[in-house]
Amino acid sequence: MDPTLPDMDIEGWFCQKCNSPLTMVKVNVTYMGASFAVDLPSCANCHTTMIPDFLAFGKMLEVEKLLEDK
Amino acid sequence: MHKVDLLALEDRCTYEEPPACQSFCPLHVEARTMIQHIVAGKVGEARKTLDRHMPLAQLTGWLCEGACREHCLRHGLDAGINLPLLERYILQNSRSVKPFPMPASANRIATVGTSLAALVLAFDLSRKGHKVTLYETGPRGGALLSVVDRMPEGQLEGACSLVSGLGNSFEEAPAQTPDFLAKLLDENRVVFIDQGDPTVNPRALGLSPEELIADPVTRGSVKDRVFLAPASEIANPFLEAAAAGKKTVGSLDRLFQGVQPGIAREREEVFQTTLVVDTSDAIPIEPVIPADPLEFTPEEAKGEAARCLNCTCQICLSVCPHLRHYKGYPKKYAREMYNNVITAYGIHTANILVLSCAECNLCKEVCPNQAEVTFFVQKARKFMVDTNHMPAAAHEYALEDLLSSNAPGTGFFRLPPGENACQKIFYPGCQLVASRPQTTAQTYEYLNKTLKGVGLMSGCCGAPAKWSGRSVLTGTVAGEIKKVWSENGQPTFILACPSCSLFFKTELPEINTESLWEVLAGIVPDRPTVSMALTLHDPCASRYEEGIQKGARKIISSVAPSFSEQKYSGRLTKCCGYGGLAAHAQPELGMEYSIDTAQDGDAPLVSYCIVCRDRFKAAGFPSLHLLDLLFPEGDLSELMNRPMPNLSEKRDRRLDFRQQVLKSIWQEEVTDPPKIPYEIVIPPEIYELMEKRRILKGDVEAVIAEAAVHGPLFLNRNNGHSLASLRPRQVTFWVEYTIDEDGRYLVHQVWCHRMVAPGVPGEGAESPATLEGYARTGGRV
Repeated sequence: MDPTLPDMDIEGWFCQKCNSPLTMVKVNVTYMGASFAVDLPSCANCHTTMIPDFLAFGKMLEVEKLLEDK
Repeated sequence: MHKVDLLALEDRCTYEEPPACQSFCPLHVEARTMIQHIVAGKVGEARKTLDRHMPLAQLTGWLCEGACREHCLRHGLDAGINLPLLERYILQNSRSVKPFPMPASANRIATVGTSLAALVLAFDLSRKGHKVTLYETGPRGGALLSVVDRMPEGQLEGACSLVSGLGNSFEEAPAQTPDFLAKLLDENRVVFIDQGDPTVNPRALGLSPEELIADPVTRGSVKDRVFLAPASEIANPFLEAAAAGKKTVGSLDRLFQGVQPGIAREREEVFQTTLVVDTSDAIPIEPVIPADPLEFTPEEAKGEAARCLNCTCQICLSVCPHLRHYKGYPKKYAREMYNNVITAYGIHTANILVLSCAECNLCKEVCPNQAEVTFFVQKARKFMVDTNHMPAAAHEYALEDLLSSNAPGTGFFRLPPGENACQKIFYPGCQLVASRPQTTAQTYEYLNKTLKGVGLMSGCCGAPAKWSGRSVLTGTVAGEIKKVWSENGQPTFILACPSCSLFFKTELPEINTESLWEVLAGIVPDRPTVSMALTLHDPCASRYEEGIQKGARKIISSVAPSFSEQKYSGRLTKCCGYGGLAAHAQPELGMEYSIDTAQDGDAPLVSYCIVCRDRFKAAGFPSLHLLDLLFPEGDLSELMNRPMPNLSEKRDRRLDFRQQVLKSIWQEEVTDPPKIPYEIVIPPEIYELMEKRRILKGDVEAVIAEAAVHGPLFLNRNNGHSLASLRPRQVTFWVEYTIDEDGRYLVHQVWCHRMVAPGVPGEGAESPATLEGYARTGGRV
């Protein structure tokens, strides 16, 4: 997966538990044994990570399909 | 998956077979391709095609007598395509590509005689780097001198110059004697006797009558290293002569590489092609008569070329959206699918090809050779599952639906009310219950009242597991049905769904079954109450079941006697796209199937498979189920236009069906499933999106239930939305929502993904697929 994703629309979101804003953090996502480093919005304090809609049905779905056909 | 499976399908598909014009051409010129180039105005491309098959076309092309014309499929219709004139048109309006010089070889070849066969031989061999000496026993050109009036002036001389320009040489032959032949054999590896040249005297060269009989394919004489062109008295002298030269080149290619000249020489002579062409729709078109009988103008050539039927076998492609969609044909697909499944590592580009077949067998039925894609696809899918290469997303949703249909609380079996045994069990199938629950209940009551001793079993037979290639799951589901059957005195199953009938036949052969349609045909009274025009559709699973088809016709004629048939019906019926779970793996193609099948017929369709009915409606064609005519849940015009239930609705209705019939027919105390203690509002556009994204209402409820206890993960300061997620199985669901002043959860967006990201709750690590485990949990979280 392309680790340099376009700017995400994460404006306004913050962690409910920590009341902290989200920051872009490099996260290793995995699927079918393959692993990719992706910048994802995460809580600066507890590291709870968000996967936004456009990513889930955009690049992430593309990669899922590629890996399923691998 | 074995290579023998591939070969079996490859052998039966004749798509790659040449058309008759090519198979009956002594040089096997690819006339079909050439003609299509003329139609497209690409004369240069047509010339390339001609040059590829016809050696020394600038000479041979003028002498073609059109042996193909009487084999052309237009021959019986109007007149065979005038290929000789088209070839001349190409020759006059194009130039040949200059042969690329090859490194010289040490092989020397001699010809005795210089007629067409010798010139073709020399031309072809010199392009491979060999040198030929052509011995003139008379005037240069031999028999060709008698036909120079058939070609433009100087054409023969030009061809001879071309041959010598390629490094060959013409020499005057001394007296034709055995010593001369012996000398030639001494100085050359091979000697070619061109008997088409009238000045050649083979007997004078010492060749006996036996030695003058050539092998028809290799053109070799029994005399070592001597090859022969045919004598000129045969029917098609010039093209046969050119073919003899070409065949001899094929022999020498092998000989020079130490291979027997007779190896791999199939189909070099003219042969009967096995290509099947459906000409039933071909319209007669008068042949183009050129103003100049010897020459076509460009318009005339295009006009004559446009008459070509472009013979290919399109029979299966014309009836199957899947076969058409990927722009190939069964033989090509077989190779792609085979290579795809046997590839251990790398990209499996043909997965989607394997997964979007409806396994309906129509291709086999229309194929003159019964080439069967379904059998191949079934093997490929099973192999993919067994080798862990089946994409999880393709069928998971359908399989979960199967398991939820059979889960405790949804699937059930009951003996007839008040009885402790049964003779028969009505098995409506998972889809009918989900789409027509009241009709299903009425049908059951009618059967039990009329036949007596009929129990009811609601669930999924396991057909989706079989379609998806999962033999273990198929066996498990079939085993559950068998258990009920054997524990209840082995009753006969009455099956409403043709796919269930097919599944029982192959997976549960020990169970005696009857089709609901045959049963009802024998008991429903004639009551012609429907006057509107209707068209009957046979579901693809009933293709080989004449009894079921007859039963359905008896029923529809008793209610709507003026019904009509589809063009494709009975054994040739088409699939709605759900078969083989094609619509699950490739929803867009699934819809192509539905439209293709539903548009066959003028009146609203009536199917005796509820999935067909629902899919036709989803494709925009008002349709009914056959039971709608007998036990309607409402007004027929409403039923005809009732939308296909979505995936969440189907699950809810199966649950409701169980609750309703157990309460009303069995008078059981039924506890309703626990209701979530809050209201969730999903706007229609989000519901529609969820259907596309294969997200169930239950999935959204599960996420909100989790958030209701533990709170959402994220809040948005700008719009006040909350965001929660849950990974109940191999998918993570996200729900964006707000809670209004009445405590209702208003859903604003829903999405999901299969990838796992640490930091998303529940996504610590990827866990293996556990469809069977999922079944044990009751189908839902």
